[in-house]
Amino acid sequence: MTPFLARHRWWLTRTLVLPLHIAVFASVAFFLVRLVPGDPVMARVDASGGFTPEDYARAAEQMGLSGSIWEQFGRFWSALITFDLGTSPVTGRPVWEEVMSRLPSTIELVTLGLLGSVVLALVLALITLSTRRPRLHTVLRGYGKLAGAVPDFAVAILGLVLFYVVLQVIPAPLGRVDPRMSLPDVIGFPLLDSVITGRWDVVGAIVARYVLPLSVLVLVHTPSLWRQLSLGLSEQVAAPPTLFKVASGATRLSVYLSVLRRACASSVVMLGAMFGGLIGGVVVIEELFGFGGVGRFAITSVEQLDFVGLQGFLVVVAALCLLVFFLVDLVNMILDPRRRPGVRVDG
Amino acid sequence: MTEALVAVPPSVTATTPRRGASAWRTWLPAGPFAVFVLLTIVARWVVPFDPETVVAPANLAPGGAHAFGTDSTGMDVFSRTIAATRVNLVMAVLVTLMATVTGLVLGLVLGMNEAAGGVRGLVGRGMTRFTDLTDAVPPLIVGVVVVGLFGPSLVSLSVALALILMPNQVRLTRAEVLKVRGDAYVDAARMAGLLPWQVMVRHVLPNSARPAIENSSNVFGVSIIVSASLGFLGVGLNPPTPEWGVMISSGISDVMLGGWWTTLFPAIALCAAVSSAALLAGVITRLTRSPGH
Repeated sequence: MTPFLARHRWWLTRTLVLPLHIAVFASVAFFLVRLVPGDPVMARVDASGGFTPEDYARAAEQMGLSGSIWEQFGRFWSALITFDLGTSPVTGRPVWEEVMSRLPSTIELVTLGLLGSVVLALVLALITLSTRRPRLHTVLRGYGKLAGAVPDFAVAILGLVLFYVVLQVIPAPLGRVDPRMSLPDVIGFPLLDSVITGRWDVVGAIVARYVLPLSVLVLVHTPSLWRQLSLGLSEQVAAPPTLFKVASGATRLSVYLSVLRRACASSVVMLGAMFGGLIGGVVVIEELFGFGGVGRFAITSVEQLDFVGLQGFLVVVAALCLLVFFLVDLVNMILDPRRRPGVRVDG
Repeated sequence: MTEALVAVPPSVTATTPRRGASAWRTWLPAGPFAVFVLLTIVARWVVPFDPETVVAPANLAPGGAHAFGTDSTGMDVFSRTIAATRVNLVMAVLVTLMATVTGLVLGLVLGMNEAAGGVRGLVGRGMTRFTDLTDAVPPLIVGVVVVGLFGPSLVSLSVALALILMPNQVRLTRAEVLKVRGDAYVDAARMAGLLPWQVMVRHVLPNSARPAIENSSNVFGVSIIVSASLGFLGVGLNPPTPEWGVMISSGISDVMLGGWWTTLFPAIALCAAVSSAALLAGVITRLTRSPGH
């Protein structure tokens, strides 16, 4: 192996594995959807006035269910490499378009929520590092114990009752904007698009409707992140590298950054896992506030036995999550070279 | 794939509660959970009204005979909230048992076979990779898919949730098995002539089950949340079966009209049940880590 390859092996191999993971997943999604009991074609054929084998064949064709399972598998794959996920027999539109028209708004909500969580966790970390009061530390650690112990939609409902019904300070949870307003559409992210097009009235409306759902997401999901970070901090805060840093007269900021860098590996992994969980999990919040998103598409597909749609949705979401996991691994390997494969560490 | 580098909590401080006088302090956090279990058992007999029939005019505000009011069809919200503990908690118990038991078995088998040569090791390593990959599907979506396609019943719902929550248990057990399998007593047992499965069941399993068992209360809480979320999304059990998620979603439209009680009380009950499981986690951790265990 040339020195260049040897030096860059850590991210090259990880990058090469990514398409493989996605391929495995796409295949699993294909077979999973076909494991369903009963004959899905029969559910779609209008059998009330009797039907001919031709009707059945046409319906099967439409659902991508004609031919043997291996023929279907071959067709599925040859279409997939050109990003063609088939056409939904229910809506008559390409599944790729259906998913992509909904995915950005979900990603926007999740990303903003996680961004808030990261900021809050960092603030808490800074407080922990810069004060010594044990009582405060206990309180902060206690907040981490809430991880996974609070259902976000129940909290959102408490918030709705308090702020919408009782105090009447937030707008009705009936969508991103006032029903009379239209959303600009440039690249699909509602908030970003309104900023790009300079529709500040729409931006204001969206922000007003995002405040409650986002605060709920941040408050409920930060503990998972904070718990990992605070465990890392307590391990690293008095570790030899920190002491060395302090003894060598580094600035306070540089010491903090060094501690954070060593302490954050498991919270970065947690962040990736949270993103994966929320892409599907945030559907409950979206339903509650009338936002609509990619989760709604999955539920509709299941309800209407739209296999092409469901399969396409699974492939896209899994690919997105695998991409995020890939970024997580890269970030961790950049932050801490000891995590790169093939690196030997003493001690 | 992301390696399992999620931090392990540092071992609990050495101040294990003394026996006798302060034993109640150990058990106190388990109190709320015990109340919920009790309610699960006696719910049907203590509720003042039948939770599945119309007993009063619709949309009565809380007060009088109906402490939590009535919902838009005239069913008693208090009776339904209490009766729902049965559905939600029984499901959570089933899920926790299934996920933990299969997680322990799979984790044990994977951990013991991973380093083996030949086909056995290859299959073991492949399976481990695969459990990592399952993270890429959002849990709630798996629930929606399984329940939507196999029908909403207590069994399909429980199996779906168990499948979702199992990989984590597998991972925890596997990591512990990898640590334990090299210990001297395992070698000693092997050299004493025990068969491989005897070594696995008698020596490796008891010493590597702790993380998964401690995590089981977490599984319990999550399964309540996910089952209620599924109900909320309309893919859970069919109404009028009392279930918190369904009650919350059917009450949402009332909230807009000022009828907050049909939604608020099940939401509070849901939060309380999940937090009671979280409190139980502390008790379990303390019990499994106290000396003599």
